[in-house]
Amino acid sequence: MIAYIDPGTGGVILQLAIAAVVGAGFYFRRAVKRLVSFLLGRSPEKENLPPSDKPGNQP
Amino acid sequence: MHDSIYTENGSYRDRESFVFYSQDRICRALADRSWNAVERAWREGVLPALIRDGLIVRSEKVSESSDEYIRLSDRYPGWKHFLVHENIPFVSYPYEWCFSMLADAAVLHLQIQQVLLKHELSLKDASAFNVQFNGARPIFIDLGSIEEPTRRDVWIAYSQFCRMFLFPLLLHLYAGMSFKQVFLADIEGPSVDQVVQHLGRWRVLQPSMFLDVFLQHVLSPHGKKKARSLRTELQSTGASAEAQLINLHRLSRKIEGLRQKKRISGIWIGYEKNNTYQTPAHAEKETFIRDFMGKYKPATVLDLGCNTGEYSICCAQLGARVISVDSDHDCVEILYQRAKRAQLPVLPLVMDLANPSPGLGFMNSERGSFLSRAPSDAVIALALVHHLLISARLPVTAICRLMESLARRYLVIEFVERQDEMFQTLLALRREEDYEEVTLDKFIAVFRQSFTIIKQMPLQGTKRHLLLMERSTSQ
Repeated sequence: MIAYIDPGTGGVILQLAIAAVVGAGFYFRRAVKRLVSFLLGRSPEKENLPPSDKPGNQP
Repeated sequence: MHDSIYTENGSYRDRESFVFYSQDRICRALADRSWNAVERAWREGVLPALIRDGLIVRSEKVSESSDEYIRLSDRYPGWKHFLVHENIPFVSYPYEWCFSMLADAAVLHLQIQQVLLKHELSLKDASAFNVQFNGARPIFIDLGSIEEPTRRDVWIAYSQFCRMFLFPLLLHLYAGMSFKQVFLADIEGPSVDQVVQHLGRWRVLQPSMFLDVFLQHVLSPHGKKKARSLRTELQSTGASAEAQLINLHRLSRKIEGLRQKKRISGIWIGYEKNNTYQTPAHAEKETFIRDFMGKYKPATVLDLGCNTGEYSICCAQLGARVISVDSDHDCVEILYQRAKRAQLPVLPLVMDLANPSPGLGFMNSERGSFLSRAPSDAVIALALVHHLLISARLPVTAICRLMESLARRYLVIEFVERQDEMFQTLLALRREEDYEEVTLDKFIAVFRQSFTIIKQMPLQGTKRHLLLMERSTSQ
């Protein structure tokens, strides 16, 4: 993805930094969720499944 | 024979798309890569939705089986994809807009980018010149900007967005700079370093400017050294759009925040109620305009010195498409808000009639001068002559020349006698003898050289007269 306009090097680095922070935030949040789930003794995967993939209403 | 297909002078930056005119219709040629992105946006419904919502200009593909396609591909060999855009009635530029217009154009960019990004598409540039106003409604006009990005976390046009939108808004708000100062000096908008210089190093440390101004400024020299590794970084794929969406959302909020901070200067607050024309003369003027509009039905009206736009709105309600200009920014701001709320075809612009927008950019013709764009069926110049005579020091003959160059057919002009209160106020510290020649008879005598007087009416209880004229030699 190379621009035909001047993408501004400062702007690119800034956005990569934002992406890194956001990425780290997600990673951190997921890690915390897993830890909490582990401590509460629940399976973490179920919470992350999209609604359509969730198993039905059966217990 | 005059070539009926010609290329737009301002459309040369992008090598994958350019604008041209074919039989006075606005068209665009697209290279394969650019077309692929546009075609996908079309196929997936995202472009039709944006067009339907009025965010992007209506466009159609020129069918490959049509005669027109053959004509166009003969004229532009090597180009295979052509679009026809809806004509924008009047082309205006960011250095003529008021604060809210640039803010609205900025928000429009961010909205479109957010929608495109969800479909794995992106805008490859963010130029304020890619937005036009149809009345008081902003429309994005550059379909050639749509691309299929490699990385979705970085918006390649972010820095340009700052230069074209965010920085001019900040400079207007915090340094009192007009968009004319900002864009006439550099058609690409101010650089981040200029913003830091204008606002000061300490000021840009405040939270509202820390990321977009301070950090960009500090990171730029570092980035220039690392440009090659940044290139590799930008070519890598697979990043999610999440970070960019957060950034776009942040920018939208920032623009809205700036909008809240913009204050209209005190003299215009409540102006509509208190202005000096809320008198019988005011009603007479409006009746005069209504009669004129009803009888001569001009399709386009140019309201010079429009103030907060009472007569502009009146003309628009009577069916004309109106361009309203005033040199006072806040008047234009108020009128823009009014026109937007009422959804009227009024396009208000900030313009100094003694120094209107020049031709700018490549060959001086990339962005047309105001005088090349402004001629209208009718010109309305109410409560303006004394300002041109005294503040701008234009002689009556010069005012007449200006009107000649703007009015295709009709001119409604208010003559203000020397004894008028406002005339005297403006004259207070100036040589009165310079204006001894300014009388109604002499004024009419000058205008008679190029106009025919159709109607003449003194305004009750004032030293003012309304004149309706028609060009003697209609163009």
